[in-house]
Amino acid sequence: MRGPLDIDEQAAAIAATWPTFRLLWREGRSAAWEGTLTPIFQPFTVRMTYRAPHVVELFRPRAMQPYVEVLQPRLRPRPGDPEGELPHAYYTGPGATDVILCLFDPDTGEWSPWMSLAETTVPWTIDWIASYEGWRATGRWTGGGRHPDAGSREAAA
Amino acid sequence: MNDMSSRLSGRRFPEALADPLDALLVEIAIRVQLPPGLHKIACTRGDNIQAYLSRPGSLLDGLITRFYPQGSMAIDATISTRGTDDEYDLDFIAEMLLWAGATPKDYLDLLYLALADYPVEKVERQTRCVTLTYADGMHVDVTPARRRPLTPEAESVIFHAKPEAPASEHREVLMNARGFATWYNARTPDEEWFGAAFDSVLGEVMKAAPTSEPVPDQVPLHRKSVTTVGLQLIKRFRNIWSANRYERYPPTVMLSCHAGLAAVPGMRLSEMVIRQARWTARAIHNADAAGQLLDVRNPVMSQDKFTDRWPENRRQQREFGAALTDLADGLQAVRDGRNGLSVEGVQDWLRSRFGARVVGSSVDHLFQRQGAALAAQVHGYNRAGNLFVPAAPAIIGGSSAPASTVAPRAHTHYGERR
Repeated sequence: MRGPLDIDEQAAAIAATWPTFRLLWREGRSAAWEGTLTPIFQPFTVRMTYRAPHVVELFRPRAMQPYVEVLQPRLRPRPGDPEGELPHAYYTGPGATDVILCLFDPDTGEWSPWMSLAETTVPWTIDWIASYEGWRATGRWTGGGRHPDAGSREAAA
Repeated sequence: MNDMSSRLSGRRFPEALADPLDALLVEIAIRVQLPPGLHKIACTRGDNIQAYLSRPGSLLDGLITRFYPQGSMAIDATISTRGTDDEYDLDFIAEMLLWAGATPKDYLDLLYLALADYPVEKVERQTRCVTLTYADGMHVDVTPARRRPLTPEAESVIFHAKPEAPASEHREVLMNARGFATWYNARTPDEEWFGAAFDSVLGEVMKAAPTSEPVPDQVPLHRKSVTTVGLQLIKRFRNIWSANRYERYPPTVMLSCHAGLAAVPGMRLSEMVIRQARWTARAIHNADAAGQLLDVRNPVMSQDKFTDRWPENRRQQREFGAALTDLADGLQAVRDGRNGLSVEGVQDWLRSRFGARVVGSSVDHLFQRQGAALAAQVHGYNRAGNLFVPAAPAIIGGSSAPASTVAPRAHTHYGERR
């Protein structure tokens, strides 16, 4: 059986598909890329960090997922918003913008390490930023999605 | 098929809404133009006025030789009146043949008397026309005219006669509104690649409006040129710019003339708005640099001066020229991504140029469309990381959606809520 895509395959696909992305570093099975995406008018610089799992590892999409952070411009939270200060994100620290983007539902099989980041994570990041731009401009998140129960441990995992 | 039409046939065009600025400008134009249902009503009202004036027993029975729309109505470029978002001014010419020696005052007074009992809210005699005000806020200006014999088709005079001014100040004004409309329409053929996309968004907006008029079975499909929609946006910009300036403002017919001169079928909407803004700004600059007032004439009748009442002085023209340049520069910067503005920032910038309510509603619907496209996975991406949301259906009338770098896939945004 074919295993998950390895880091070289992921890097090659990203390089071939998204010319605005560059490989920042690569070490063993891990790598990070930085790139610019302009879903609507404004360019956003994002960093994507990923470790390609070994074939024998237990498949845990939430833990294995690529980490996508928005570096520039800084995301602008909106305290008190029913979607959350920043919609559809995992918090990685105490700051209001210490987040990585939550791009898929880990319980549905939408993403797995067998999939190309170039065909999933990068376009889904474009979708997230475009929806974020709409949320900032109109107060409504039109990108769809779901929130696990407030306070759920799985959401914070 | 005229020259412009033949240049269009067989060409492939970009998807009209792929660029988000184009899509946003279409949304704005839809909200400022005369809605299709009201367009139909306006045409009916014109027919009714003509029938009323020509009915047996009318003061003008047998004296109306022709009755036709003029101005924006004749070139399908009507937008809401200055200072409003939902009131419209429409213009008709009543070509009349009175007795030899009839004065400008005679023409205007007789038309006013013939319409005085017309069943509308208000009938007013103006300096050059009679205005009928309807209960729904529509104003119809009926301008009396006299055909000039032995001249090219539709060369006419209209009449300038302030009721309180002495007869010595009354005068005839040469014009050829019908000839101008024919000239303009020939230069701005309907562009199906654009009109189809425009209509698809228009249909969505009409269906979504909570107090919308009934949606016609079929809105006039594909009958739009990019030039005319660009002109509607320039006129709206002029209206917002002049809202708090209590003096004459740049005339629509002058802007229409420049739009016709600037017409290049096949251009993107944002490019066309920029082109028209720069066209007029450049004409103003050239006139001003020569120490003159802007002088724009009817291309089919040089005696018909479109700028006879504006600009009144060089300050007025300089201010409008600077505002148009600012508009063009701003739109260009958004297109190029130079100013790094978020949608929020672009929305704020556009609000002060096209009106807060109209722009807010346009941005709302733009993101509703985007959300629907994401859910249906009919959106696409290019290699620069742009998202595009095509009009539905994606391939219409010689336009095609750009190929997506990767196919959209279903995914569900998740995450915690803090």
